[in-house]
Amino acid sequence: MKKEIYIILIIYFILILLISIFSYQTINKKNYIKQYFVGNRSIKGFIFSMVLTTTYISGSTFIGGPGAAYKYGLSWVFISLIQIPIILISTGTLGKKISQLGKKCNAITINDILYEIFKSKKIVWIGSISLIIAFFNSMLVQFISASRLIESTINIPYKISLIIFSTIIIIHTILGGFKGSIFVDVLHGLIILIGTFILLISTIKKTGGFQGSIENLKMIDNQLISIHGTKDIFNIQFLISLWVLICFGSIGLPHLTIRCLSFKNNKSMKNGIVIGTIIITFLTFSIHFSGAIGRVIFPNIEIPDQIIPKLINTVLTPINYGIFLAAALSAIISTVNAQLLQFSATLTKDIYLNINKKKHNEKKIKIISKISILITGIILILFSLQPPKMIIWLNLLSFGLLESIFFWPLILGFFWKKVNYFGALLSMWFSFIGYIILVTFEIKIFKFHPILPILLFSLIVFLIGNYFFNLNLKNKNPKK
Amino acid sequence: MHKQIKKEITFSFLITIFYFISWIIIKYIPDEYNGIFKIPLWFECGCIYLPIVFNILCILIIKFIFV
Repeated sequence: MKKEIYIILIIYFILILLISIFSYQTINKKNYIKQYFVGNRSIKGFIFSMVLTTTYISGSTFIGGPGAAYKYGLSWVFISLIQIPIILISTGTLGKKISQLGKKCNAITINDILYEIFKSKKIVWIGSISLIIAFFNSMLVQFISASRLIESTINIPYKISLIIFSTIIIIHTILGGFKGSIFVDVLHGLIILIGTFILLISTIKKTGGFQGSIENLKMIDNQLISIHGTKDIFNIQFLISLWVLICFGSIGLPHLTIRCLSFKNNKSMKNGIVIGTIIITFLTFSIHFSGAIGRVIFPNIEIPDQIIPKLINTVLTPINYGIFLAAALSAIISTVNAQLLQFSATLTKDIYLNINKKKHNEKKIKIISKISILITGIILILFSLQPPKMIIWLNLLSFGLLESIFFWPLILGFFWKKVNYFGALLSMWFSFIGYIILVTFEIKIFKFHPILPILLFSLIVFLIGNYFFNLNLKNKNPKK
Repeated sequence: MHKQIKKEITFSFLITIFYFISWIIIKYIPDEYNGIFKIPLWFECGCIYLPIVFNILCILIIKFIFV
């Protein structure tokens, strides 16, 4: 193993820790919570786009995604591009509303927003519970993929990589908070862009040029360059489910929508959307295309998820290798950081302060939120010791739960005047229980992914609940 | 203000729907056709031209529709 790789990684880790310490010192003692969790609502365009993309791009983008592209061929590159409208559709639609409401009620979590719309503590409860389950699941996946990446690339045993990685991320989150993560996100965004670009160019060169690589792929298996993929799993139900899951449904992803609390003004939001969309398009294409044509160099890998680690080992020079590794870890760290912060904000603000109604000073909240991050981190490490096989599906599972729960309450809550808390509450409980049942017992309705039937029925439940509650109100106050 | 937000949302959805429909159409291009770069036509359209078109549309609506 080359020295350069270690040196780059060590520099990278030290940089993250330094930035966290620096931002810890610049946090004002006043308005601590607002600064720590949402960065004082003052982020400008370019930085906002970096925050959005690094939050969205995660471990599965670098491991599971290219793994699937390796397995199914070029058709998976095409499929992965479904996700490029994600920033437009999540920020362009709800962004302004969330930002306005957030400023009005001083929100720091998605549940604060829901409370402001529906004025019901019961909504906050179900919101918090589902958020905690889903984020825990998602962070677990990130921890595992990071440790596995370190393990398979620089040959440090899985358990040691897990402990090194998680210690860094926990310290970074506890010290820096959101403010620290903004600086680091910009650093991460740039590293990710450079690393991916280097990988794309090197892989294309090594596999025989842009057209050559596709020709070579054709020689291995004609189906690798077919739109139908190697196995005909791309039936219409699967594709529609994916469109809902990774494109339209992203409106309901709390860690993404909550980032809208942080931008400064409309101009920063607009710039954020444009730059973010371009970056996402470039990254999605490059990383999946590299995974797909990587098959020319390695025709037979048993676990497809290993394609990127193997690829960087052969096509990159040691320095570029280090940069790419830092990029992949950046993607993971920034996503976990965002989720860990929302997780802890939910635990302290939505749950702890709800149970414990005594007056709290900021100092106490500060300590509680930090302890909760520490404990969550330790539990995550304990759970990561036994990793599952295909990462991408677990990740989709946790995304799906959040989307199915938050999708309708957010959309209808913002854009429907007659909305009431009862309908929202019913539909959230319905999605929560329904989604978990469908996923656990692998029940498929007409071969669709659970997200589709759940979204459809939870809308119906929402409307029915809403109708009867309004009817009830009318009967009680006939004058209105 | 409310009218403006409605307009922005409508356009965001419109270009996403446009992207969705074009994506579906490209999916039905037969494998045999080759594009300008001598690679499968579906790949050229779906993974190169369409994302670029989407990005341009996105820039245009942000510039002219969003306030």
